[in-house]
Amino acid sequence: MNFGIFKTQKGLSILEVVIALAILGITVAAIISFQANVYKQSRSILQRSSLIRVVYSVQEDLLKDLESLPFRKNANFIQGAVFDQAAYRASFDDDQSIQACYDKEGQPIALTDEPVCEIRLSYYRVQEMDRNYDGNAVVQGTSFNYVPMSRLLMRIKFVDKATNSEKVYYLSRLKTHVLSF
Amino acid sequence: MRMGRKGSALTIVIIVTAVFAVASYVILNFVQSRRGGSEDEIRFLQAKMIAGDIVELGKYFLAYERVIFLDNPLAMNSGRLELLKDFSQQSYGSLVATNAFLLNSCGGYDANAVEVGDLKAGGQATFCPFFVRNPLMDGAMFEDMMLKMWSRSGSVGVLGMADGVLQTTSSTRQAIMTKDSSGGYSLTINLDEVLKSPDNQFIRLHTDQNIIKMLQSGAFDAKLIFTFYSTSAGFETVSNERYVTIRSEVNYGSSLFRRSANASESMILYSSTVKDFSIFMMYPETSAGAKTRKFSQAMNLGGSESKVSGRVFFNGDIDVPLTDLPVFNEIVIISGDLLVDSTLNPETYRALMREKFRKGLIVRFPVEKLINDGECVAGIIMANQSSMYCKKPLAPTQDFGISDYISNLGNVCSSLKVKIDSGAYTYDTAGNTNSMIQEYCKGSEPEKLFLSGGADGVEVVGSHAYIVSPVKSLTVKSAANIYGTIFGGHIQALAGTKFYSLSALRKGFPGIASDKDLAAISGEGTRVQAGVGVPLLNLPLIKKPYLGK
Repeated sequence: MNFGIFKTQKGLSILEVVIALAILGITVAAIISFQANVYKQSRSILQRSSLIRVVYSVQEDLLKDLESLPFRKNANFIQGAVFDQAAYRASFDDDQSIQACYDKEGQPIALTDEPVCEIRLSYYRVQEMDRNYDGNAVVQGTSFNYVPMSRLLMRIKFVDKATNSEKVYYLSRLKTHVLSF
Repeated sequence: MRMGRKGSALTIVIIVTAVFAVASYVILNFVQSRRGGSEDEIRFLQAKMIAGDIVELGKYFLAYERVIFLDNPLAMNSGRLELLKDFSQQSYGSLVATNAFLLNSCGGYDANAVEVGDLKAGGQATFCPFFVRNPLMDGAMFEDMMLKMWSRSGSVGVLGMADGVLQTTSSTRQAIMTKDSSGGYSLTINLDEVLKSPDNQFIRLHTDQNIIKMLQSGAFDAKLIFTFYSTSAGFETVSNERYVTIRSEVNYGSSLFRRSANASESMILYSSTVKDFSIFMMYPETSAGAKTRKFSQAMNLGGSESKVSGRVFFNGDIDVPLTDLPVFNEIVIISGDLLVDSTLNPETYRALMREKFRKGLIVRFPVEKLINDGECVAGIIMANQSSMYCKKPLAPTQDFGISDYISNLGNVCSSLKVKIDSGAYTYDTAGNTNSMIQEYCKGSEPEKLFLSGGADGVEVVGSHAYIVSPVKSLTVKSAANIYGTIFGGHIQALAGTKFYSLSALRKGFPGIASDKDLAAISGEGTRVQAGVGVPLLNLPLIKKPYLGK
């Protein structure tokens, strides 16, 4: 084979063009894949930032109104000294928890419109351990309000747009029922 | 290869590819770091939530606990429980004139400024928030006798504890507070170990919280900080007000990656006085005079058409349907439960609660442990200087009640029936042959405040009545305005009756034509003479600051 052509002839060789096209093709494919990946990651980041904002603002709203929220009666696990994570998770059954649905701006959406539900929230209220001088837990009864502390328990569900999988977070907030006027 | 030749497509392609590779690497790293950042945002949210919980805990400490154990404030053990029970028997003091206020339950100075000990209880360092709620100390006195005594110039810093003893000690007392340049006094409690303890029961860490990894790795600390503002900070504090900021700091991560989540709440703590209460039913009775804990048997305030503007305390359960209750414009406190139909759906329930209890409802208020409880010997209250509450039975079958209270504190007129007609009251002396009683118990000029050590039976007709008194049985026979504090007893009222505490009175109400009238009847100075030293609940109330007021 005569390789002199590569050494002496000016202009583009067919081989050069083929190699260049191959590299370009791979590069273009990489760009497309990269772009898709970045886009997916960005959506996930934006979604999560939005989620944090929404969750915090929803929490604050619920805390303000916590004293008029009924107590969950059967969440006795919460009174134990040892926190049982499995029981905690299991407590978020959809029959007794209050359900709420929010769009990505944190605006509530009717549960009947669930297909557009960006963040699904389940929450309920329990009495926090009452150390009221004898250290014994007050028996959970039918009353709707107790002194002095209660806890808001929340489960947040959303679909992570990066992985297209469901994410679940469990959060809680404490509230001391100090009267204000 | 013709590497040096101009116009080589391969060279250009390789260069472009290399640039693209570098750019991709940078961008991908950036995106990954942002993704890590969003993970950190979730962690930060969790840290902020813990900080919020700590502030709530601080409110609990100030409002409900009498003693904070500084070394490990959240841990509870039997020894401490015993100590707490001991404290709970001690007096908060009362508004009754003869009371000697107990100042030294946690150390400090007595009423004569004589040092009585350090700030320890049972050998453990303590902080006594109930001093904060002491309603007999104005701001200057509170600062002089409490804050200054427990502070020192310069920073005390975070309290270090060893075997329950503060490490910062002096020969005379422990300095636990830092006086800052603004004049505030800060007390900082380290919560690191408390949070890491598996026995921690208050700041429950409900995970999936990835903050826990930080907490367990040691790159985590948390503090609870109380700052009190008094005279030297420019706050002119009246006796039952305390200015305080509760702040928390939660830090995690190390060096460059350390983040800090804070939460704080400023408030004015305010102890209730007699002026705040409209109805104070310490000893509820049925119409027949039998003791009861049922709202339905002790009080008929006139149903849903009546209004109560003033705080209400009821020593028992509310057992009437929410719809049948009057509108309570101020806070209602009961020692029992709200017995409502549990089948009410939450929305209906919440709407009714908002409509009826405009400022909220506190149930299961531990009244016996927060209010003075006098002890009785042969029917005379001897202990705790209270003269208000007598827990020990007078006889094996009889508890102290409203009749005992009135017979102890009342006067010769107390056993007579009283009729109040549009502000003027008269005793019914008919049938009473005692000339001294007939002469002494004539009644009042119109529009005078009704003062008494108590009355067995009061009947109201006309437009209004002033009652700041223990009353065994009150019957309101017209849709009148009832001013003052009723310490009962039993109440029967017509629909449309309006109850006002002294602090809720306004010029223009029936019988209150002028500012002078208003000042005359709403003055706090009348409380002792009226025999209602009652509503010194030390109820933790927070005044919301309103800008411009």
